[in-house]
Amino acid sequence: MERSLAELQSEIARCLADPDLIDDALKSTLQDFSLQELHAAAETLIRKRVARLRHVLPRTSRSLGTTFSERCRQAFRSRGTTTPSLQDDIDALGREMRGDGSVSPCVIETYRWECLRHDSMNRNWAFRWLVKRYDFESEERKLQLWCVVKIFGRGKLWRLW
Amino acid sequence: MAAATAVAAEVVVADAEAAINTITNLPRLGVGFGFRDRYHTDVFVHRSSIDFLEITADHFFDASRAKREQLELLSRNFTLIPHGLSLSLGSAEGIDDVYLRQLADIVSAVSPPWWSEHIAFTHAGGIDIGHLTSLPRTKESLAVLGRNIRRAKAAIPMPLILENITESIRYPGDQIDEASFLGELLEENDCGLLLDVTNLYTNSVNYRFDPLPLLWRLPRERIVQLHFAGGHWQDETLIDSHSTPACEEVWSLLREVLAYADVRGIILERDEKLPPLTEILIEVNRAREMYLQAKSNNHPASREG
Repeated sequence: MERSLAELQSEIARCLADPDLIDDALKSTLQDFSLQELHAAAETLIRKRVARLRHVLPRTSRSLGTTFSERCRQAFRSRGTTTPSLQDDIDALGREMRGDGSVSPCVIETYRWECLRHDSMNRNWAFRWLVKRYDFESEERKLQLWCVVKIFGRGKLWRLW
Repeated sequence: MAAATAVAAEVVVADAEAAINTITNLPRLGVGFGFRDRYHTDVFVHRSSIDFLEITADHFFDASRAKREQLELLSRNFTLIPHGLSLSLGSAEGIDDVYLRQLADIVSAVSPPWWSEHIAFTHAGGIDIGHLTSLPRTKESLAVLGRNIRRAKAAIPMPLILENITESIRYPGDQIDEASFLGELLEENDCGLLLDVTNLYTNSVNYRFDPLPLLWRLPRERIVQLHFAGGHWQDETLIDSHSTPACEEVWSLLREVLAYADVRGIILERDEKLPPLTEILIEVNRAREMYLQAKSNNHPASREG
């Protein structure tokens, strides 16, 4: 059965929006897309996204362990996968950012570089808005925010800048 | 019956001509750049070198008092073109009412000759993607775009121009070639084209096609505004990052577009590695020289008019 545009878009959005879903989405996409051509297109898109994330995530896991990154992930997971309140998200981010801050600068710099390369406009705006809101003045804190925006920030943050 | 049919046909033709005139009669604005906060003071210092500015409408949503004042100050001194990022005209699930209302408020506040959005979707399935994501070129996509554009135009009465994006993927299941898709989209919805020359070039490089035949199949009377910018290479892919000065290939393509269409305005985009405004203005001035040269050449579009 051929997918409708709405279904295709939802699948692509789901794959793009949450790194945690990518592997599952890739599998389900490979299984479910009945139209071979759309299947191939989605696969291409997802592979790009996976490749991009794999470039940075191994370093994250080595350097961050279960501290900063995992706590941020947990904070978001606890809100479920539906659309949480943006303000809640940002407040959660703010609380997490005021934690131990034990993030390797080189890892953060990697994320920052990634942010600069990809969707930099959106992330620039989100980043600047968050810095202003939470008054994070130090470079380290700002770089940590890059990390958070990279992992979790997604599009809706940009609207607030 | 035959007479009634003939009259009806004339009305249709007249309506079609009037629709095109809305686009072709837009004012010529010249050359400017995408406003960024960093240049807030400098744009006034260099006022005489800037014909108009494009603002990112989203930057002014839920704006603080200071941002509102900034917008008022800019609009008193410059012609501003609002450029939306996330209306998501290509979303099959429809466009967001709140976003549309906010966008309409900004457009209304600056009373522009036109406003612009992208031919893309940015949300689906309740998710904001954060990317301008390409659409399959199908009849269904055209129908979705048409439905969303009608809603947008009902809320925002100023002329709408639509921008081509860089495509992260191309859908093998496309039913319609790009020029035909754009042509039908613009004609059916009475929209202008914001032709991003860098995006056209970037797609031509990444997908290995000659951009000129595509350009020459676009409806020239609907090409209203241009974007151009510089990007960078990553893993053998050209990225439209707005991070560097435009490359010579983009300048060449810009010249071709100006020879082809009676363009009303050109905007330089820069979002990364923001240089001093004087460096931005070097490119703006170069584009203006091309723009004025094209106008003085009395290009085909003008002659036909």
